[in-house]
Amino acid sequence: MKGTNPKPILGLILLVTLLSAWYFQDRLKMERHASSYSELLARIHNLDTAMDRDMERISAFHMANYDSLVGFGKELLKMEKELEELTGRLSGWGDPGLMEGLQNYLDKIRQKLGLLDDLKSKAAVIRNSLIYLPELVDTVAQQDPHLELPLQRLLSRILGMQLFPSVVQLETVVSELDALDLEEKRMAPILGHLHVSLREGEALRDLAGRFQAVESGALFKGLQEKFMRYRAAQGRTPVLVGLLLILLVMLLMSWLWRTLKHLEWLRSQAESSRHRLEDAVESLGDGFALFDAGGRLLLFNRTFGEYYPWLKEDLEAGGTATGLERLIESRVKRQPIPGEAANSAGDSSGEKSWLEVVDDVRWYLARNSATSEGGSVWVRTDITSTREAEAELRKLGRAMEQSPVSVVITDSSGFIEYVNPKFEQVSGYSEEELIGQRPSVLKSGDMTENDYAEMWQTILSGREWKGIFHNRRKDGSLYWESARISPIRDEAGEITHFIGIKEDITRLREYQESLRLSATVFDSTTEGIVLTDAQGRIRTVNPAFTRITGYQPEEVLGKLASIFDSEDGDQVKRIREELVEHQRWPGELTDFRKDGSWYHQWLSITTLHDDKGLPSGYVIIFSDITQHKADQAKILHQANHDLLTDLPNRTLLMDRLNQAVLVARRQHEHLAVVFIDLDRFKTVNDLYGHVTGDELLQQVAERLRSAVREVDTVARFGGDEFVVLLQNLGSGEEAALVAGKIIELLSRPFDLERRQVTIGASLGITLYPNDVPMSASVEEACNLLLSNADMAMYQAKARGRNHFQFFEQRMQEEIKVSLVLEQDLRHAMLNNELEVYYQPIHAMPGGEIVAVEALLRWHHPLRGMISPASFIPLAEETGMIYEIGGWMFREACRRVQSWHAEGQLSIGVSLNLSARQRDRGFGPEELRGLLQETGIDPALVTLEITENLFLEESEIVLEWLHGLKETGVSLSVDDFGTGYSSLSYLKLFPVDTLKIDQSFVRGLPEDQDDVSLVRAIISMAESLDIGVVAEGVETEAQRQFLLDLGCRFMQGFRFDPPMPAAEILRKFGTAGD
Amino acid sequence: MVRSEPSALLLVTLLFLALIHEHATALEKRDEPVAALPEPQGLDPELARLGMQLFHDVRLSRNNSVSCAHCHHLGKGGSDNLRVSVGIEGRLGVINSPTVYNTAFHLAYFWDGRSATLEDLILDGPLQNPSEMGSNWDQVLGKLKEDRELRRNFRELFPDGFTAENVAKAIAAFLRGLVTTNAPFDRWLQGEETLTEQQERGYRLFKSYGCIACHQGVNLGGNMYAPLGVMGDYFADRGDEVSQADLGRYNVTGRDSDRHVFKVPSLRLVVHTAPYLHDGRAETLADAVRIMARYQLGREIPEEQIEDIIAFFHSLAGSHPLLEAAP
Repeated sequence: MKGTNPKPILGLILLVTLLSAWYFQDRLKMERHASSYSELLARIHNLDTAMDRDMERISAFHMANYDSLVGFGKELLKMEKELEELTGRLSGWGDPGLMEGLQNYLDKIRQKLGLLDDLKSKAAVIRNSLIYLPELVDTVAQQDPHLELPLQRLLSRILGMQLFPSVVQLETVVSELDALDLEEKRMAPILGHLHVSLREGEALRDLAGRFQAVESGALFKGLQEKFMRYRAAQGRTPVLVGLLLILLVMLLMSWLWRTLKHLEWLRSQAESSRHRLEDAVESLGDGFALFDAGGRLLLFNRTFGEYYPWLKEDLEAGGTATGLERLIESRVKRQPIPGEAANSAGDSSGEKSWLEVVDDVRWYLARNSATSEGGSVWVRTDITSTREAEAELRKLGRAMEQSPVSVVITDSSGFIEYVNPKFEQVSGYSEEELIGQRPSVLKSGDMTENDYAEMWQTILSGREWKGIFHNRRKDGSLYWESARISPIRDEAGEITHFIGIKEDITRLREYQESLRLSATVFDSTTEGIVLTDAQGRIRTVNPAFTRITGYQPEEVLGKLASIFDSEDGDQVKRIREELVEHQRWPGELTDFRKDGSWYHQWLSITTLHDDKGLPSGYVIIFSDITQHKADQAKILHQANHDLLTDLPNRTLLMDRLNQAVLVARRQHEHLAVVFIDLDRFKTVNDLYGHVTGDELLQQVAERLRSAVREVDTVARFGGDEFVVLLQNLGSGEEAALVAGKIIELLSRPFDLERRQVTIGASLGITLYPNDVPMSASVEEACNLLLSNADMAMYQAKARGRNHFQFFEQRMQEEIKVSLVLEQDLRHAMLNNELEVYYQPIHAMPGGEIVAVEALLRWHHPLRGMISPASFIPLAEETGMIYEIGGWMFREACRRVQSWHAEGQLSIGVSLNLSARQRDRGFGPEELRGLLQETGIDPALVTLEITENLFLEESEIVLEWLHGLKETGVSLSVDDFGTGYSSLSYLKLFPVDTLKIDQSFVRGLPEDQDDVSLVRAIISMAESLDIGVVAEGVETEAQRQFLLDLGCRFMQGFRFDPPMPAAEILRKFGTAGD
Repeated sequence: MVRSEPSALLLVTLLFLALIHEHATALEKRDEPVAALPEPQGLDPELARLGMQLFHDVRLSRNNSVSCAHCHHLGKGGSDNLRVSVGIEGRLGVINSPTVYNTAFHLAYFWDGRSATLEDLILDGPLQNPSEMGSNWDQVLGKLKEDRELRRNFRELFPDGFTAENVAKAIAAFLRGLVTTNAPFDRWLQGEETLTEQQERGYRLFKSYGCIACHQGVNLGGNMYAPLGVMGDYFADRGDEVSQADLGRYNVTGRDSDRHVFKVPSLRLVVHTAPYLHDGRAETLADAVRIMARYQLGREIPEEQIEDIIAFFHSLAGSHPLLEAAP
């Protein structure tokens, strides 16, 4: 190679390559930055252009909707974020002004977007006016047709002014308007819209001007130029450098290529001739060396060198035959060839041969012979493998002796020729006892002749037989042996011997049996079983595992068992600690099946240990208890929930209330208990049956649930009673809000399967801690809250339907009072504290007394006169009304009868009959008895019955009323007009008189509602031929008004208050005169 | 025979062309300032499912009592039908809660437009508001991280797992799917005859009274801001003290011209979302229309026309599986 060393050149090339790589990498980065920058710039410009375009369209009112602008704000925000990110990434890139410019540009866009939002708003207001004005003009023109034309012209001027402000001037519009000369009132709306239109138009044009004044276009151009300039400047230097580099690289490469080619050609010429000779020698399998007559080494092959590795240097240096021989002998032991002992000294052919042992390992057959040229040829053949085969055979014999398996050799007739010591040990027979015997001495008798025949057939046909023997030892014990028997042939292929190799497999069979049992358990158990190594990697799983988890064994083998692969590191740690301490961890876990569904499992892990007592793996046994848990949950649910509505039942409510009170007490929170009782539910149930009632309850439950928050509890307390528990309240006002919502929801009509019904609800609310004494225990507090809410609910119900009422301490007081009152009322009759008062009923227009209404008064010994309004409801509630009513009937009838009999006063008597009296059995029979007992003429007696009675069970009531009527008394409807039903029932019932309720009379003659109602009652009664009595007439105006309407009978303070019997007699009696 | 084939082919082709032409012209789209709501596109269903789960997750609130769905009841039109919402511990909010349906097409969020994207709204909105959820992200993420299944979901969907941004992304994806499509009015726009006479009359009135100037586009609103009270002073007539919430967009920009300026609300689900206006003062749709006429138009509208316009509103509500689901 003319002394040229390629290394520096290669180094140079490497250097240049690295330099260029670095340079181009840098260039590439710069390019990427530039393109990110220009792309962002272009996108901002696009947005800018789109905004400019839309601004024009909005200002010209050409935009029907603004949907296309919705994305602007989001796009802008996105670009602002990108710019921020880009500024960070591109630090050091570009001219100083470029990034700031972009930021500046974006700020301008943000400014324009703000203006655009304002523009949209202004344009919409103007559009609104422009659209609406024609409508307005039409309205005005309709009233004043000659104005239509000038108004239309005005309209087009306004439109023109909005669209082309520079052409149509404001003054033109104003003068047009002045010319119309309209009255102020009619023009007000037009002026209003014109004003808005002008004002907003002005604002719109101002905004448009400001929008256009935003210098975004110039900014963009400046930025673009600046960017281009930077790019141009950046582009010049690199091109030159790049070109130079490429040129240099190309020159170097071509020079290198030529040099290498030349070198290659020279080398191939020189070596090809030598190779031809060497190839021939090398192809010999033996070691070969050739010496000339002078003993100098001419040639040797690689094998020769390998046979004598220590001669390497001498061979390469070209040593002599004697020198090499000496060196060989120094390491080699020579031995004569067995059988050729005398030959080593040489024979006539000049050939010598012997054996050489190198390092006791390798054996060579050496043969030196003379050549015709007087030189010599050495040939070495490796016979190590042959020698080793002999040694192997010897070892085999020893192996047979020491073999752990039994070996027996028989002749071709099956007589034993050889047994090894193991055979003796297993069978218990000695070699001497066995030689010459057949192996059948070992027969246990458990195997059939057929088995042996099959064996003989196989081995005699020259094939190997494999099988199991059940044999008997010399001591008589049985054992299992697995055996292989093969024929041995001589060179001619004739079978000369049989060799049997047997192994005692008794233990193995026992082991296999137990293994098979374990496997059956493993495969058939319903529990999933996983065996893992010490790291928790799965080694085996059973079929139940696949059944439960859905994973096939091949999908999980080698993976970590999920219990060791949990994301919940704490749990894994806990379980591992437990395993270290107790070797076992049982517990309940949740895991996922292959299909992603989860299940509950009961799981037990046990640590396995190796011989040294170290953990070698884990057995995980688990069962799927999802269903079990679900069943449990279902049972628990059923125990705590109402079957019909699925709402929590009373038990669960008490539990939650308890809990809530505990929490509220600890956290100083407020809670409310709302007691809900449905109005009219009983009626629905009685009228339409239980199925409908149940359906209604379900819908009520649904609405209640929707009325409260998820944290609140809605429970069915029983029947048509519900309780809502509101926790964590801010104030009582919130409870009121919820209560209002509940009332609103429940008063809406319910669409049941067969009909629509409307009910209502009364709610009682109590608050914790407000309504509970501080000293109360949690349990007391719960009970108090429920009874408070219940009490408040009754109060709400008393106020009328669809109300809610907060609990007040007063209620408890009232209950106490009414309890005392009830006691007192029981004694009142016995102590003669009750007295009947009489209020006269007068005939109009003369004013003469025609009857009295008997009214009850109670002189309480301590509390004085007690109003009937406070004790009659109590009497009704307790049922005492029955006795009191009977007593009053007798008293009043006797009194009136006696006046009549003695000729003092001949008038009728009206007696109030409570619905509760009917409930207690008051009817025609009893009435007849009372009439007879008092001796009064039934024609003088009128029974006053409240309207509500007519609403119920019409058939039964009708029968009852007719029964009463048959005794000869008259019937009157009391408090007429306050009930709910239509007037039509009057036709059905045998009614003689109506008493207009005093609440309607009170409003006369001012209240128009009352007037029309009273008028309707009177005229309807007239048409049905029913008498009318007006109650509670207090003023002359009322009397006169009722008289004018044709009312014949009146009662009230205008005439007389209720008074004792003596007073009646004094005022109206005749006897005294 | 050979020569007749091309002519037969031609005949068939012509017939076919005539048929498809017939079909193509059978329904002619109507050109109106309102457009039909498009089906949501390109949403990752897994992400949206996660978003839906989070939307209903009470752990987003401080005391685990209130979820997004609490005030945006999906079965009740995406709102709560209360004047102002009730947050944790029963605290009352300051503004009427708007529907979460069809929000993908809004130009910004909240009545005053203070959030530019749905993600921003979720990241910095009701979650931190003391009278709504009263929480913060550290607290919320802390609670959510306890949930093994949720953690798994996040890991599968996001390379960076649990972050506030990813929670926002998921909920936003769910919200973008809440589009009520196939409204009778939308089908009418496509050329079908799905409107009653009264509804068509209502729409004509809606346009001729100029309502359409602001309530336009796919959502009939939501794409611009407008002042409340162009032709009269709503707040003076209302009587109550003007609250911070009444200031509207002024709270965002601080410009005097933005006082009482609000994002124009969408009318798409207006029949489901009583009460109305930012202060919830209009209890019924008729009240709302009356107030709009009085303060934006400067007049009273006859009652029968109000009924016509409300009938038209009923044609705007499209369907969505969650909207129809039982409450």
